[in-house]
Amino acid sequence: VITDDEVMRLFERADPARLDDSAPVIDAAGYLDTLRTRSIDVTLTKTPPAPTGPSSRHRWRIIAAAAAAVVLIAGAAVVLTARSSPTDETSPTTAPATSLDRVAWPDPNGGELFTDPVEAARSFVTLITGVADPPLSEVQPGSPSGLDAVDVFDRSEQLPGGPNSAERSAGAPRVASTVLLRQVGEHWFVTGARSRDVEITAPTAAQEVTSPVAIAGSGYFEGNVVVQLRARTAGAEVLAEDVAPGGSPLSVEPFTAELSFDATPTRVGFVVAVDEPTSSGAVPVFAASVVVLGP
Amino acid sequence: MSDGTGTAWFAQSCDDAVFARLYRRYYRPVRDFCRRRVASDLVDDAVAETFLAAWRRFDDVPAGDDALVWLYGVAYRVIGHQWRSTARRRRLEARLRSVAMRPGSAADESVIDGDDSRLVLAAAARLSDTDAEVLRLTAWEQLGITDIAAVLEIAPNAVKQRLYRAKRNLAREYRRLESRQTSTPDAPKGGAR
Repeated sequence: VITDDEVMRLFERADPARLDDSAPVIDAAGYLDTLRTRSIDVTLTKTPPAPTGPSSRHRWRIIAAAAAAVVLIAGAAVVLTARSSPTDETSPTTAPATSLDRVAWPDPNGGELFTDPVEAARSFVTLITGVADPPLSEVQPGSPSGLDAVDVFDRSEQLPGGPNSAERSAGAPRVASTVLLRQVGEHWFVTGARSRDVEITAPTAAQEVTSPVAIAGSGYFEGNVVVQLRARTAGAEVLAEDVAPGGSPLSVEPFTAELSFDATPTRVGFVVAVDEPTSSGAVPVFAASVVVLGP
Repeated sequence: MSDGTGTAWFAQSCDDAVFARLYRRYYRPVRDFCRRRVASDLVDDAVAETFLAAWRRFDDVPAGDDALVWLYGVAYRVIGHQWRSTARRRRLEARLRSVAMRPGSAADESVIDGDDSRLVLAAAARLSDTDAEVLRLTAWEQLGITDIAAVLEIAPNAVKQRLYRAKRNLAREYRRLESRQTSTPDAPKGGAR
């Protein structure tokens, strides 16, 4: 009688690819061009055809002008929204109100303050992710948002075979998230965090929220998404927390959560969305946004 | 996070040379992976979808040979999940198969292997999808428990249990088919699902 192991060996030998040498040899560069074409097909299917004559060029001008107008209107709306934000008028902090009422960490009125932006970022990342010594970049001054930034790298850069090794030589290490910072006086404060992999779309930055607050966003996730509302206190206490089901690491998936909170110890807080990584030791991706806690 | 943002980001960060290296190194095993799971006329599509996903999520590709396991995971989902949501999936489902033995084996030993292969593949086709997948990843991709868990996104302990069960069930089904074949030697042979 044939044993289990012998059947397994038969199964190994039945590998249909074992004797298949018919794989075509495809030039990698050409394949990359093919992928680009496919990607463009996927993402830009609504792009009008290239202009072929004077009328097409005219149409492009109109489209360009319309796009510029949309950008201007959107920009103006953002500016107006920011200026009309209640945070400017109701800041619990001393001047300059426009700076300190929009910082998430540390608490300018009671927390440990940092004169080094990287240390401020490190403290924030540890607070949010629980990773004790996250790999961080140097501070990058003058980001397009006007804020300074510190990148949080994926843990893989520190592992053998990581991006810095000869085997990988992949150039820049993977950035899990980016912490945004602002300097007020001699101290540095975190104003938020963003990531390509997770985005908080609601509430918007510095928006006043009341209980229950609806949190919405989207992202690529390995595991579930932990959504928290934290107070800007010395310990950044968690006012409310929810776990939204994760989606796919291969496609953008929306998430929503509803957080209820009672009386708050401070008027400023922040919302965070953190991926729960499936592998231990990894630095999870996260996003954070300051909110004003309403009554 | 939007499509436009993602496209722009890729345009900036995707290193062509590194991707080409990844492609050259892993094209063949990824193709073999797909070759083992879909009909031959769908293999190139599955491979292309896999590398397209890798290109789009290039910064997520892990270092070293972990990249291959990551690509297997992508290919597994391309075949089993992403295509399910498209019309093409229907066409794929109609052609999905456990694996059919390829023709063209002429040597005597290969003929014997072919008979045994048909039988063991027919036995594998009687297993559940997850059991069969664990067997394929073990026997054909030669992955360990941890890597299989990564591909299937399940716990290593679950992989161990499934592997144990799948091996036992495969042998049982094989013996069952073998006994039938012995009792009815002219019965048609086949491994396709």
